[in-house]
Amino acid sequence: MPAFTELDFDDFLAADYGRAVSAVGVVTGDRGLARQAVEDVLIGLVARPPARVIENRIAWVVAVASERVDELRRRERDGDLEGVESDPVAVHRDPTAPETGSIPLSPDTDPGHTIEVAMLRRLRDLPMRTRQVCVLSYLLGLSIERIAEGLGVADTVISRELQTARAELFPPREEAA
Amino acid sequence: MIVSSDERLRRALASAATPTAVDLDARRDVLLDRIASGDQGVTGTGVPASWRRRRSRPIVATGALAAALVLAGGVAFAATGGVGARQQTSALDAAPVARGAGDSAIQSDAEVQIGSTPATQPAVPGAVAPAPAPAPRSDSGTRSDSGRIASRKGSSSGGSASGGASGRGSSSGSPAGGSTPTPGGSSSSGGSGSGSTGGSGSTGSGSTGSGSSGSGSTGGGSSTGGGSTGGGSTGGGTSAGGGSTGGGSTGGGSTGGGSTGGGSTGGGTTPTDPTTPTDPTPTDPNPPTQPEPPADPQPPAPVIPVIPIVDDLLPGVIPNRPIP
Repeated sequence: MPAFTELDFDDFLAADYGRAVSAVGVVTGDRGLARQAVEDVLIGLVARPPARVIENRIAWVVAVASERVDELRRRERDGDLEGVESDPVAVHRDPTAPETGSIPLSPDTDPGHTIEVAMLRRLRDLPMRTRQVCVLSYLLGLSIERIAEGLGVADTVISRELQTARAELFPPREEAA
Repeated sequence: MIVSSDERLRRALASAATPTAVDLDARRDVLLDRIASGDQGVTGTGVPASWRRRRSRPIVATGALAAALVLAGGVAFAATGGVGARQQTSALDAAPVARGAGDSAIQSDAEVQIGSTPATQPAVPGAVAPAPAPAPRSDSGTRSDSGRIASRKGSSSGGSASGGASGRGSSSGSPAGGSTPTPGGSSSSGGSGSGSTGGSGSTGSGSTGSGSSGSGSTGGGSSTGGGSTGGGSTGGGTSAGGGSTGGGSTGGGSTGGGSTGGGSTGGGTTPTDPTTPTDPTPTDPNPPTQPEPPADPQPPAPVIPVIPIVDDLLPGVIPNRPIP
């Protein structure tokens, strides 16, 4: 895949923009802030491209944009953020809140769904890096090598994060049965 | 149907990432407007910040360790004397230049200047000072590069290593003749006066004898120069130089690594009150001269008799063996 350059702006909008916003939304739990963050990253890439050639642009954009969401959240708390509408993702809402999200939490539903909801809840408590790797691998389907070259780190680092994610997210054997 | 955990997680993420309908053309216009207005967006870096932080931790630890090692090395270097320690070393290195000098002679860099030429200038016969006892090294002050003498007894630790070359101008032998004793007590430390006219505390500085050339004290009492006979500097410190004999520095108290060169005996120093280094104490301008002591004769080589080995002796006679 060619490196991300200024000429790929339209191509990225057409191919990866929606996926990137969705992935950042899952990582951070807010689609509105995710959209804003992805666009900020795109503008930054066009205005001041990084020195390192980014081989896997969507992985890099997702990682940087999810960090940008944290900053936007701080600015939102401080009242310094205008023009951005927050759109929380259901799985990241407060577990004590009423179950109005898209994912059912009732125990009467499909047990498979219950397991998935439990996974998403555990995902919410993982560190940022682990969430990023988990989303890039399981949601966007990127390989370890692709994620590593997108983030500029070693493959072993990505493997370690994935192992951490599996150990935390996958239910115990009796619960899965 | 059995579903693996990986597939469960994949389905869960896909259900949470429900895409929303976005008008790409509208978003593109918005982005282009922001770029046109000079919006810089997020600064692009090679590696995302959250990943860069953890990678940088060992680097930070390594940097801290390196800084600690550098500081420890600096402390160790300062404990050994630092730059000032070089002064002591250079003095020891320069000591053999003045041949015949006592062990207590401390030669500074100024004493190996032009004109002193202690190694080549012959000693004046019969111009030997009363030869006071050589001062121990601890009593002799350390002379810094600036020609100053440490004014305290025993201050041999190289302290003031800094300084200019103002004190290096020791007597180069150019002004011959007797010196004009100047009132002592002047404080022209490290003076560069050639000959024997300058110098603080140089009262009755030597060079009253024959062949005196540029003796006397220069600077802070260091008496350098060659060919002088008679008393060295008083109130001064180091008396050295090629060919100068009787460089005994009395008084001054500060230092006095009295030394002479050129195969003559050294002057030595009698340190006195260190608190009054500039108090001149005129010495005898004509110190008694003594003939130069002869060099130590070489002991004769021991003669070991050689007993030949004789093999053809009579039966029953044990042959001689060489003495080991």
